[in-house]
Amino acid sequence: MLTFLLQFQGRKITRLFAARSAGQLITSLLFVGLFVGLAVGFCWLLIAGLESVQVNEFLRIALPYFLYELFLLVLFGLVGVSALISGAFALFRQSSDMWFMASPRFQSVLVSKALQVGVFSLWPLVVIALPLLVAMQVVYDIGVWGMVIGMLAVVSMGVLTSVAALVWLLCLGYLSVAASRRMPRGDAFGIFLSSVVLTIVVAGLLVWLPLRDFDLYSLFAVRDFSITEAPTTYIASQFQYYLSHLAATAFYAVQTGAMVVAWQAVGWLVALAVGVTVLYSFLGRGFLHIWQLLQESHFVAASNSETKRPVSNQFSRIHSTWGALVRREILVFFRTPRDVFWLGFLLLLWLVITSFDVFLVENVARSSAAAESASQWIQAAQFLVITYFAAAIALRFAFPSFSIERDHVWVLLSSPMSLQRLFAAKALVYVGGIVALTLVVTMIHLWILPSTGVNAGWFVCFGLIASATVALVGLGIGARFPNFASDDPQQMSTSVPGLVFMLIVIGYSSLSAYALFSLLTTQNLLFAGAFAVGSLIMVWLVYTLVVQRLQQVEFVPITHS
Amino acid sequence: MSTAQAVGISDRFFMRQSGKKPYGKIWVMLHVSNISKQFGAHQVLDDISLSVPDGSICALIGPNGSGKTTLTKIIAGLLQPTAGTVTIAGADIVRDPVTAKAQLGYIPDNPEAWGKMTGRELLHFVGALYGMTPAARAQRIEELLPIFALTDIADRDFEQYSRGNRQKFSILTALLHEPKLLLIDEPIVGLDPESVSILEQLLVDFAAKGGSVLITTHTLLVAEHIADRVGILAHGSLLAADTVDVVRAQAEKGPDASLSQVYHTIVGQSVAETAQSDQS
Repeated sequence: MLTFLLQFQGRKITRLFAARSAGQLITSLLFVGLFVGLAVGFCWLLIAGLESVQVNEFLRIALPYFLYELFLLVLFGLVGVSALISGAFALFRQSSDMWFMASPRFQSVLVSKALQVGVFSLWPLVVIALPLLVAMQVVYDIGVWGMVIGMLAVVSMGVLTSVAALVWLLCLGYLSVAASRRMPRGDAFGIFLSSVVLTIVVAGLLVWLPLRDFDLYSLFAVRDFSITEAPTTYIASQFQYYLSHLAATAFYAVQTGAMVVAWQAVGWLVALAVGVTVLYSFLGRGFLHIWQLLQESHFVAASNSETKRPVSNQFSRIHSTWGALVRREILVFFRTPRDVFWLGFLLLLWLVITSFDVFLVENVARSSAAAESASQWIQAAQFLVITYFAAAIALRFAFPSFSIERDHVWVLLSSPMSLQRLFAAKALVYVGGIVALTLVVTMIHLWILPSTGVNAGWFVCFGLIASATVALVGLGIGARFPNFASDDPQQMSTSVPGLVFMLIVIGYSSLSAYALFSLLTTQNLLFAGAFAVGSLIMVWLVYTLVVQRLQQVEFVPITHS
Repeated sequence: MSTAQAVGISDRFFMRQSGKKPYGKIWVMLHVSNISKQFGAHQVLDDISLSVPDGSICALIGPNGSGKTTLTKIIAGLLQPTAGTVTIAGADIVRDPVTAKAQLGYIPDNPEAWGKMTGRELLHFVGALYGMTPAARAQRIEELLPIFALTDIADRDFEQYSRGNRQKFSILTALLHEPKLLLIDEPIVGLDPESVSILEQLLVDFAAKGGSVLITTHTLLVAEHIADRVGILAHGSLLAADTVDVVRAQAEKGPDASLSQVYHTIVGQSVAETAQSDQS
């Protein structure tokens, strides 16, 4: 079965690149060209960043190491939580699995999920790691083996994190089924979902609480005048209890040429990945039993069931098509637990990273001379955080919002309503929602780290415009390239158009952050103008390339019948 | 005979007022003209033309993969034709989709809707898409729900309904705004025998009041019960399309021949002709 699944995935990729006409070939080549161009741009930015650190004798070793630790901790924290949420629904609530589960090879669902959640959704990580390793090669000359080790570290860490999340989900499945038997009206899937949420909250706290108390001065031993180079021992001791420490150690060892240490760290990661895979296989023996019990829900075949919602007045006062489309989008979103969990998780993470301001305020306050410029640096960095999270939310919700209409699009497209109106309704909900969240987060940031009136105003304006632009671009790309191959929004987000969207966001947000920083430090309005024009161009591109051409896009899966 | 013909209004005046086209001596609600559809290099429909007059039920039958669902999706405005035109009450589905779709009620082959909306919410939502006022929607929903005894389950989530109940709700969404043309892809899949009888009667009554119906189906018995016109589609080509009597004559069958016999004869001839042309 594993061979079949691998061959199936291979054929899917082959089909994707099998261009059938000159037009499709040109479109594919343009897409690849854009992709490569953005990856090269990302690589160039990384090289510039690493080189600027390299000239600082004191921080040139310790600072990159600290960034590896922090970046990999956040990255794999995201991978882990993502695997928990998507795995919870993929393991127990995927309607297409009925065929598998009714067959004698039902155990193969476990293999399929491990591939889906643990392997195939990790390819964007590889795409991000590759420019980083190329940049390390340029700056540190890490060699071919250094790049191989770096890539092995990323891949094995990704597999380890994802499969460990699946193992934990199986454990929660067993526990939820057992708990539901002891409760009079116990809903096993409800208990299961609650325990997944609890896991995420506890994991978030375990990561956040130690990080909150970081002291950068101690971490880099800034006050020790006897040393000429910041040590890495304090940093290593702060991160040693996180699994991502092994991957960060491998990167650091590659950077410094300690290949034995690097191989050891990768060896540990591979061994742990194999270990959790064996455990997953062992726990999967009872999968059919818990899967059956976690399917149980309310189902109405006859008209005498007891469970129903109160008579709804959700649409009873809606007079217009526009109002109905907006209300439907909001209603369905807030009634879908998976979407609400995802939004909650992303918001929590956004607020956690914003509240790093507390830790930064304490460190900045110690040096009054640097306080003002540090504050401007932090605002530019927080602007990047805002655009990143606006993009992450747009990628998860706005981007797949046309594709997930797959099975019910007949209701919309057979009615006397234009696709432009549907796009406008979705834009109002997603762009409006993301802008509202951005406003809240920017206010929290300014509350923790107050700024002068003018600078605070610029920060809020930049944040709102950038988040609106990013959300609209995400919605537009998703509408122009709908994906009917999957009904999982998480999987759609990791498609090629999804990755192109994120690369566009990286380019746009980097340039915008530079413009904001320059504006805050020089008060030169030219930068604000450039940012506004850039954003307007992106909105105009969405309008001309997507909105005006929506009627040409077929939002219906093809059936040859 | 339509109202316009009954009172003797001229063709030109009626076309201007209703937007419909005359077809012989009958008024045509749906006119499909030279429709072709390609998916990449695959030709799914090849030069299809057919018409459904007022007050008529037309059954489109054909084997799996013959292009029936693709044709209904093109008529409903879900897919774009590669060539040809579709007009509903005179409005072109590609050039003037809003006017054309306002006359149409569509029931798909797979009656899925948003799982977290209740049946009643779905009906309200669809009514709003068709521009119905909240009061008109509420009144119409109360009239429609008892048809299939759905009142008791109307406030449960759509994802909780059985296949049959989903099908019944999708039928109600199509009837809600009182369309002129019903387009139904496999109407009886998942329905119990009582509901099949109710649906058949519903369609006959709809046509009797001047509405037009195009159904695509594999169930020849249903087509035979209610359709006065029939189209036979195979390999993307329309082999026959006319009244049941004319198609019987085309198959060289007598007036007592069943639709099944007519269908097998015409499809069999087509297969033989295709094999012969392949050999030569």
